[in-house]
Amino acid sequence: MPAFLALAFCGFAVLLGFLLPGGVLLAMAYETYGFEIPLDFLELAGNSTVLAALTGGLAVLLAIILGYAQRLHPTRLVKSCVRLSALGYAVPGSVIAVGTLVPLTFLDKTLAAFLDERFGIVLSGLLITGSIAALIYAYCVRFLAISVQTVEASLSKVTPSIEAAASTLGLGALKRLVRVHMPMIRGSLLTAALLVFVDVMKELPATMIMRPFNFDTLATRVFTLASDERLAEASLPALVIVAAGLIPVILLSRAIATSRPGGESA
Amino acid sequence: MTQNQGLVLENVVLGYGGGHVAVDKVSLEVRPGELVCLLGPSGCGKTSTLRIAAGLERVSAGTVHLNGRLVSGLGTHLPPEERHVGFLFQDYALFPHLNVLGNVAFGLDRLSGPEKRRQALERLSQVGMESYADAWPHQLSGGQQQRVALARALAPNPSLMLLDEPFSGLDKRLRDQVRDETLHVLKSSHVSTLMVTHDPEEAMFMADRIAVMRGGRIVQMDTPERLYSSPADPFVASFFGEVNSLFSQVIDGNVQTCLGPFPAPGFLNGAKVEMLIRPEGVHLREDPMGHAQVLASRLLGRTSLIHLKVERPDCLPVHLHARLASRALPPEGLRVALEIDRSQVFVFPISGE
Repeated sequence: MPAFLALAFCGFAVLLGFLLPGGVLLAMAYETYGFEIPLDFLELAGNSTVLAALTGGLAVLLAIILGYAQRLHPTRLVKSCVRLSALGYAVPGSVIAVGTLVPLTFLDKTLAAFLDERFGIVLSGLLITGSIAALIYAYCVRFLAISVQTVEASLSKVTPSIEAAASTLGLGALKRLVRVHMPMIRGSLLTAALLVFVDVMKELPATMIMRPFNFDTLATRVFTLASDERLAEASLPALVIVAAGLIPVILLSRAIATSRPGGESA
Repeated sequence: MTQNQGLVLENVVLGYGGGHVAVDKVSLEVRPGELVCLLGPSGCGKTSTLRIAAGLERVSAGTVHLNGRLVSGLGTHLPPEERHVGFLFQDYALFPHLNVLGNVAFGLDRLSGPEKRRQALERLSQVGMESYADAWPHQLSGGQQQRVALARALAPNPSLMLLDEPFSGLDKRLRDQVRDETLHVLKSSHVSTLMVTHDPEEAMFMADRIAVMRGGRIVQMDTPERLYSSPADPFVASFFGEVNSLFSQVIDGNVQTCLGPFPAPGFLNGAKVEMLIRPEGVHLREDPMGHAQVLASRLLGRTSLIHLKVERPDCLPVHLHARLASRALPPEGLRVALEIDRSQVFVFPISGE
C-alpha cells in the first residue's frame, strides 16, 4: 500500500507538471496548425539551437581554462577571479544585457574610430553590438557559473597522484590537460555543456535586448505571441523549446553513459 | 650521454608556511643501480624527500643533482616532466580512461606507433601482465594494478625510480610476492631506486642501504646489517624489531641491572642510560636456582616468544622477552638462568639531560 501511494504521488506530480500542460499545448498546437509545421518555426528552432550549442561549447571551454588555472595555481587571486566569473548567475538576464551593452558599445565606437582613422573605412552600423557574438557573450556571463561549477567538481576526480604520474611521464601542463584531465572528465564536460544548452534555449530577457534585428529565437517568439494573447499560436514554439531541449538531453545522456572507461564507446 | 651518477641530495630543506619544516637538511646519495630505502614513521619527511627528487616539490634550500646535473636548488627547478624519473605511487594512479597497454605506452611519446606498442608489451611481459594488455584498470586487482604501474614507470627507461610505499595497499601474502617480483624487476633493469616505506622488514628486504628518518632528518644511513648490529640510537634500534628496554645507571663503567652488570665504556660514573636487549639475544638454560621464571610461551611460526620475569632480592622485578629460534616452548613457571648475547645489547645515554 505505501508503495502504491508513493507511486501515485510521484505520478500525480508528473501528471500535473508535465503531461497536463504538455497535453494542453499539444492539443492547442494541433487545433491551430494541424500536422503542418510552418517553415519559419524550423528557422526559429535552428537559431535557438545554434545559439545554445555555441554558448554551451564556449562556456565549457572557459570553465576548463578557469578550473585548470585554479588547480595549477591555487592562489587567492586566481580563486577569487574564478568566483567572480561565476557571479553572473545571480544577476537577472536583463541587467546582464545592459551591463554587457555598455562595454560592447564602447568597443564598437573605438573600433569604428580606429578603422576610420587608419584605413578610411566608414562603418554603416555597429560591428559587435547587436551581433550573435554579443548575444553569446551575454549568455556566457549569465551561465558560466553552471559550467564552472560542474567542471570544478569533476576535476577533483583527477587525483594529485594521477596528475603527478602524468608529469613524471613527461607531460607538461597543457598536454596533461588534453590527454589526462579532459578525457577523464569527458562525461562532466558533456553534462556542463548540456545544462548551459538547456538554459540558453529558455533564456528570454537578455535575448530580447541583445538580439540582432529581425532575429528571433523560440523563446522570443513565444513571448511575443503570448503577450499578444495569441496563446494557441504560441503553443507550437513552446513545444519546440521542450523538444529541442529534450533531444540533446537524450543524446547526451547516452554519450555520458558510454563515456565511462570500458564503456561501449571506448 | 651524461654519465650515470645517480641521485645526490645535499642539505635539502623543505619548509612550509608557518615555520613547519618537513625536510630538514637531508643529504643522501643513491648510486647508479643502487636501491636505497627511506624508512621512518609517518610524517617523518620521507615522502616529501621523494617528491623533491621527482621535482614535485621545490626545495627551500640545498641542492639536488641527478646524473651530475643540477635539477633543484640555487634558483633552479627542473619540472618533473623534464627529469626523466619513474614514479610509482602508493595508490598506483593508473589512468582510468586508458587500458593497460595505453597506460604503459603513455610515457613513450617519442616512439612511433608500432615501436611504442612493442616496447609497452615488452615491459608488460617483464612484470607478467602481457595477457592483460586490453584490460581496464578498474578490472584489475591491487597486485595487478601495482605491476602495471611499475611497468608504466619503467617503460621510458628512467634514470631514477622513485617508489612511494608501493606495497602498502596489498594484503600480507600478496605483498611478499609482489615485493619479491618488484625487487627482481628493478635489479634486472639496473635502475637507481629510491623507495619510501614505514615497514623496517620491507626496507631490509628491498634495500642495499637504508636511511632512517625522523622529524625531517636522517638519523642513520647504512646497510641493513650495520643498522641492525650497531644502531645509532634507541629509535633506530627499536625500529628494526622489538627490544627489551631497561633504564639504569652506570657505576664504575658498568650498567647495573637486574640481569647483572654490563660493560658501558665511555660513560661517566652515575650517568643515566637506557639499555636495549634484542629478544633473540636472550638465551635460556633450565636451572632450578635461576633468577628468571617463565610466565608464558608462545609459538610464532618460525620462532617462539618467551615471557620472563626476572627477580632478585636487590632489584625491582623486570619483565623480559626472549625469542627462541628452536621453537622450544618451556612450560610455564619453569625456573631458568639467562645468558645475554653482548652483541645484541646496546647502551645509550638518556637524551634530554
